[in-house]
Amino acid sequence: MLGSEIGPDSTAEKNMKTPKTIFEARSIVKDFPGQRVLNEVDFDIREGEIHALVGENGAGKSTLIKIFAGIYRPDRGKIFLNGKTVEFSNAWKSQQAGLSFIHQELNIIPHLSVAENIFLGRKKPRNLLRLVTLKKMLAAAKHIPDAISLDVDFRTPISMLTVIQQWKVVINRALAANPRIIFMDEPTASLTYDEVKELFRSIQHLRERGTAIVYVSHRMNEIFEIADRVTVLKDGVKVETASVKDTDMKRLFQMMLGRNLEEIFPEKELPREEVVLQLDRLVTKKFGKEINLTLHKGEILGLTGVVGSGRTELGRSIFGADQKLKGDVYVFGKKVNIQSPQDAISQSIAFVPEERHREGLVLPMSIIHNVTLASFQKFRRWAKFPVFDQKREETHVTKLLGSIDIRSNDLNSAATFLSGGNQQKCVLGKWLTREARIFIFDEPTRGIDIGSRVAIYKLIVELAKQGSGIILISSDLSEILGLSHRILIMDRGEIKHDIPSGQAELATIMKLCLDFNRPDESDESMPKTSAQKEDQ
Amino acid sequence: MKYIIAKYGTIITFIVMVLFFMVFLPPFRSQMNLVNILGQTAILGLFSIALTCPLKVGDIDFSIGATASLCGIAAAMLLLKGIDIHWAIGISLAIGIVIGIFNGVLVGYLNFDSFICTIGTSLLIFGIAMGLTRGQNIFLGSEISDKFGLLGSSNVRGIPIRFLLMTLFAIPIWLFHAYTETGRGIEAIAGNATAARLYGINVNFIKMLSFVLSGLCASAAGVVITSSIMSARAADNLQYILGAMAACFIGASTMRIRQFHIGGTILGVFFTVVATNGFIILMVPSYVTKIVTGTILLIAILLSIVATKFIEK
Repeated sequence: MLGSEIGPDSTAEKNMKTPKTIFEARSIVKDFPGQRVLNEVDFDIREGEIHALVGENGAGKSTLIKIFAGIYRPDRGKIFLNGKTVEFSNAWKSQQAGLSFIHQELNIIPHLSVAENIFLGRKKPRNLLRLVTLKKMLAAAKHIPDAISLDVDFRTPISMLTVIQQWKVVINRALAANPRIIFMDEPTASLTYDEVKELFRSIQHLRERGTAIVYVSHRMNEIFEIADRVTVLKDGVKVETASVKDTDMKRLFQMMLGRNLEEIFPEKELPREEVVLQLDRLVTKKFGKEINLTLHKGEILGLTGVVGSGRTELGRSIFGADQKLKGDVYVFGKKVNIQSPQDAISQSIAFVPEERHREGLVLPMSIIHNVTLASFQKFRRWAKFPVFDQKREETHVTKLLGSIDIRSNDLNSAATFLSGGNQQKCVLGKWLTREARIFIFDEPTRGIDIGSRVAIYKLIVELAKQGSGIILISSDLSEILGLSHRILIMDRGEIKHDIPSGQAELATIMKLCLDFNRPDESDESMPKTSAQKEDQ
Repeated sequence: MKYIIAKYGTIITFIVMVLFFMVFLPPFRSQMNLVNILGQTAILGLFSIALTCPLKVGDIDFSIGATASLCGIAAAMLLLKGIDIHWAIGISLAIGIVIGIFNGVLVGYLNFDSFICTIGTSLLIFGIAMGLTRGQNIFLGSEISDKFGLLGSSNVRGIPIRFLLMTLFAIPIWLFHAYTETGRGIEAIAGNATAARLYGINVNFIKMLSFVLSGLCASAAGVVITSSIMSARAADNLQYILGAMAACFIGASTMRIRQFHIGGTILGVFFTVVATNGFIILMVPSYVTKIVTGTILLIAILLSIVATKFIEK
């Protein structure tokens, strides 16, 4: 572990001067009702460094960032800026102190012009009549010191720009305030491989300018490519701040998850011959490309690709939640017509949606009612009359949830009160109650603590063992690798690669996911990024 | 403790209010007045049930006032034409159902925003009612009043018939909401329509059904109004809609917080009727009653917010 004040490391060579700590947070504690989200976290930033902040969902990254941004106030702990105590009681103070934040959603207003977006939330230039004009803004927007060059007309609506161009606009917006530190939250989540490279060039440009960058990311390879130091958070506690040179990917994973990768994924059995689901030239509405796919009994099919590659759309189209344009779907060899989730459910297809809160659960409804939501008929008091036998309902749910280890003393309380992991188990419980045979999981473990994740993995593998077919959509590659029998990589609505998981390696998959400018047969070539890492 | 206040606060307040009137207002506890109160809950009750149904699925129906008016007019006109009382009432209720289907298709299937949509249909229906009556009052003569008038003004064993009629709507709808599969679907839609759809619940149909129930109850309210005053005229019945709104929100801060339910709504109805009745006995001028109703509505909304906060802590 490195101390925070002394640091004769690599950045010194590049910066020509000893990097000094410009920002320091000591013993930050933040409590939310019922839980401590940050516990005695120390964090420091040196001049001109790129500092990666990593950790699982719920590890406290965003809470920490929000404290720095003045959105939350810490319950305890101190923040120093250039050695002096500062208090960020609101967002304005944080901005005044030279901190700048770029969130994943970019906070842009799509129909406004580039120039107007640059002056969003800031003092706008005015003309003689004290009126804000586009002309003045255009002039001012072009004269931001050290701005990243941007080859677009500043009058175009920002929504017309590509994502990377939007990022550059937002970075320039941040630069206009002349910040010392820029915090970037998951900047690469929706970028392609080339765009990531381009963003990295911009980040390098910022470093040369002397701006420190705090880089929050899930993508391990990026951290090794760009960051100088990395801080790992786990369950609200800082595990370590390490120089990137002194660590490797495996160790970083271990620190993040708190256990070895091998302990997380259960043993799985081989899939069987029988085909449970087959898509024949299915065309989703959004992409208009043909998709063929075969899912066997007992098979876990990992489906991955960058955000926007069409994974979720494919899952939703199979389930009837999104419209299909054409193509045939065969369930257990029989051609079926699925127009709505209702149809899919009656074909024993289950869908565990990406956004648990928005789509997976009816949060204000009780746990019992949630679990039986897809299987009303099972709990009828009289076969022909749609009235519930609430006693039977309760017995069933109690037994089921007990078997998948949900600890809640009151099953009549609203589902809101469950933890993220238990909520996801509750969603699963719905489909177990329904006795579905084909499961489509969309990011099943997003935002879930490691304990529940392991439990959900176990359930998924168990379902496969019992003969269900499973499509696992995920951007968590360790999950894809650890669970799948076969891995499909999607890109712009098409399945580009089909890899048996035995032959796959994390780095290869990552490369394939990101890089779609390469021809299809490039599986063997070792990606450059990981090669660089390995020779250290 | 907080939990109890949040859940049962409105019930406790109601009981305290009733006790206060009982002790300090002798005219309030007279049998005649109590029967009167029961009678007064009928129309407001029907309106409130009508409003609760769409509120349960996250929609609102402003057209209930105009629907009631049109159905009341229809009943009166049919009776004047010499049509049998059962048929007259039946046709009026059917008109309510048709209006409900109309609203329901717009909101449930065509995704119209219910707020704007029902204001629109309200105006439309009001216009039709105006046209039918040429803006005049339709008076029902004594030749019909015997049978039809009983509905709105007579008692069975001391209990007003219109009150019984209201319970005839309230209880089945309550059972429907609480115990049937569709009722469970409504609960799911109220909590999260997107999720409900993904679990195979027919959101469109259930939304439409809620508007049908709403139209049906509103038309019943209209018939009761016509029979109790033995006349009908085009009106938007805004005061009833506002009163019903207050009742629904009082209901939504009772027992099951932030959820509309028939039981709570009925409590809300009694709450507003008793409060108004008490104030009238206190000889407070009528404009004060309006102020009181408005205040009750605002307090009811406030209560449901405060109660939610309490529960969440």
